[in-house]
Amino acid sequence: MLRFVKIFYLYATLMILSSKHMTNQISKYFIGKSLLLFMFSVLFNHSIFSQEKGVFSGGFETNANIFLRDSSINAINTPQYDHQIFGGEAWLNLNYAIQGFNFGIRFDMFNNSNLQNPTSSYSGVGIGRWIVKKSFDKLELQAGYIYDQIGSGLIFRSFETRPLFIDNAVYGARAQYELGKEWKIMGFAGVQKNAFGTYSGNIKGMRLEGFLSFGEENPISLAPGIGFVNRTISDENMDKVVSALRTYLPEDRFVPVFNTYATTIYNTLSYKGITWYAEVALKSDDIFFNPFALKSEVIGSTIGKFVLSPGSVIYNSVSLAAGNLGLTAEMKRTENFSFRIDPDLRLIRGLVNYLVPLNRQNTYRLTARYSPAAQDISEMAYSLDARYKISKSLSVLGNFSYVTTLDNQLLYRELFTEFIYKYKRKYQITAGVQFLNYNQEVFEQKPKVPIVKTVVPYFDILYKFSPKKALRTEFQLMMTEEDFGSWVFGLMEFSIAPRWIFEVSGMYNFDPKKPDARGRIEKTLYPTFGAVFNQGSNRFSLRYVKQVEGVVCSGGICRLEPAFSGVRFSMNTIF
Amino acid sequence: MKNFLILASVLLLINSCEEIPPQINEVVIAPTNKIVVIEELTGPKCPNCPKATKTVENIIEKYPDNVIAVNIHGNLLAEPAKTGDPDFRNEDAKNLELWFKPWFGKPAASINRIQDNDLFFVRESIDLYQSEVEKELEKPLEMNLFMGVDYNENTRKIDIEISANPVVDLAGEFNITVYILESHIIAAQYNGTDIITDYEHNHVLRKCLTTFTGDFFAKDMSKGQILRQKFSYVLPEVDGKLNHPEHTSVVAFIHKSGFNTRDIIQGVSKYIMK
Repeated sequence: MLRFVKIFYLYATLMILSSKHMTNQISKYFIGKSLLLFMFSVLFNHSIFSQEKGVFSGGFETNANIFLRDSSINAINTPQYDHQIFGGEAWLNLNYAIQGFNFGIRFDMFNNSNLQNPTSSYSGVGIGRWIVKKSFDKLELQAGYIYDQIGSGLIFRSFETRPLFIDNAVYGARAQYELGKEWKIMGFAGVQKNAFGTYSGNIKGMRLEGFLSFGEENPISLAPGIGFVNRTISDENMDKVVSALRTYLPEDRFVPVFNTYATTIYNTLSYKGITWYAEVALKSDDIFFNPFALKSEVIGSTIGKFVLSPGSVIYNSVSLAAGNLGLTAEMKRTENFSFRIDPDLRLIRGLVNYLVPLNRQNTYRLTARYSPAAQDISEMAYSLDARYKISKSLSVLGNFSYVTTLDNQLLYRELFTEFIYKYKRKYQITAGVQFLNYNQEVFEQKPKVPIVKTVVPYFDILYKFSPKKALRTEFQLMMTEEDFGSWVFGLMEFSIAPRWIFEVSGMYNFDPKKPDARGRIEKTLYPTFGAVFNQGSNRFSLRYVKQVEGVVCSGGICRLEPAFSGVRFSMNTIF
Repeated sequence: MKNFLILASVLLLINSCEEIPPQINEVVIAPTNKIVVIEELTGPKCPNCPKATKTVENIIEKYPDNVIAVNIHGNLLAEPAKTGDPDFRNEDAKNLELWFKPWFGKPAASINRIQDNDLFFVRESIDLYQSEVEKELEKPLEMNLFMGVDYNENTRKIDIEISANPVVDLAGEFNITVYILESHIIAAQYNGTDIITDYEHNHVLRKCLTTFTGDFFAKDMSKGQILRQKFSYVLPEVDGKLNHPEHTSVVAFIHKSGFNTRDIIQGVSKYIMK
């Protein structure tokens, strides 16, 4: 009887949540309210879950910015600088787990936020996510906003990256079933989230994953997988494509398709210290916007058009761990693999899949200044990462990345070296040089700019005065003739564990090449200073920041952001 | 592995599904104006030519978006009227003058290369120019003709792209003719019994980028087609009053290619520096 009541309660909730008759906003309101009611009823209704205590968890994150207009660094001409002055975001995440049930809800707030589009303002408040999950023996069911991926994400990945305003959760249902001990099959269907609404068009997919080992005497193991995704373009979005095609000359026209099918096969082979991950993904004819394709006009041609083409990606990653040596070699070939819910969406919007970046994810300010986005139309990428621990106190690292188009046009080349020397627990020195070539014309879509060539020597010294007090200093020098010209960056960070971190840093454009908004080419200092306070699981930070225009990347997904001038407050807490 | 094969088979099955595609209308191209090309046979020593030229200028003033003028200085009366003046004669002009035969004297002009009842391609009566032009303008537009011109000031190279878009089916064989013209050249000109020393010569044919009878363009063109041809030409260095890029224009037209049927279907003109 109790089991029946539980299932009925879950069924009723899912019915409310999936009602087709409610508009998006109304349904959001009711869904949020229903879920909260359900969570509270679960908490206090002992007749349903009498014996087991549930677990409540959650987190809160907020950013608050005060925008201080500064035309000398081009921190101008956005609503925040012009008249809004304040902008920020907040996310409150609540999860509750009891007897195999998981309930999650997230409150999102954007207030004059520049996250969605760095040059405009976005405001919105509401339920950003809800999820209900239940496991029945071998079956796991989910409904709501689902995050998941197939393989490395080449054909499907729904995920959240807050700094880039990416939240492409699938709003729908997901089921997973265990086929024996080592195999799982998963299926999902839904629409893609777009801020507080959804994009039109829908996606569905399947994944079969397993694990095979061959006994203790044979150290080989395999983790194979196969996945499939279908994306259907909505009538509304197809109308946009057809409207565009009507203006195309016959040589650029094609017969559009509503459905695109993508398949991937992947496997991880492990043998002693060697791990080899291989994945091949194929996509049937798909409509996408190719920003580099020549579009015929009555006279001449322009750049960028919709195309219909199949696509493919091959990705390989081999790593070796042998004693003090660690090696990772990667290769990726991408051809026409832009996969979006709506072909008319650009840049980082409406992504159905995720393409793994092969370059090193740098962390120092100047070594990370020119970071390449993974290219979905045409890319051939290689990388080699080698680490060797010479002794307890000294280790070295070398990383080489090389990315071209399939036509052999250079996109990115980086040689990064690093030496780490540790002296007891007193201090640590990290130093190295980065040599980099970056195709700014392609990555930032700035026409007719030259390849940016930089050399960046750097060092980082961490000195511990006592177990609680430490000073970290960073110094980086970027030498280049292109873009903004040469830079020097310095940072001092004093920490008093476990509570306080004080920092002051400056980035100085000592050999400028680019005029500012006033048309002057001037040496400019971009200072930052601030403090971080930690208390338990709470972290507060307050900073005064002047930041130059640059590319902001997260896992190979990048966008160009304008300069920032102002005060930033952020707070994180988990409970 | 059995699971793998089952799933792979299902995926192959789904992939083979067919769908009904949306309908896409024909290419919509904004129509161009109907253009009439007047090729005037003239010369600095032709005493009645200024009158004919004035008539053509009046027609252009009346139909500024519909008329293109070309002044062909061939052999007859075409040598410079004053020593030291630029010589407008060239092989292309001479050949064209002969090709337009029969005619008996200058001034004379071809209006869209339409033959009259006597099978003449040129009209010698100035008073007929305007009515002939208007007759041509009354005919329906048969083709959109577009021209892109890119002039490199450093190399003096002119890149020309011509696109033709028939708006009706056009049977037969068609040629394209491309001229380089120069205007605003001050030189002497006979005018009756006088000589005008500072006469402004316009639309002077300087070079034909195709053969003077035209190059093959297309055969049996269909409505809606886009046909293209490219040309390039390096403008000679400035030579006194000649070869000034700011006064140089390109004229192109599509015409029938027969010896006796040379009707111009549509023309287009553009200054290289505008």
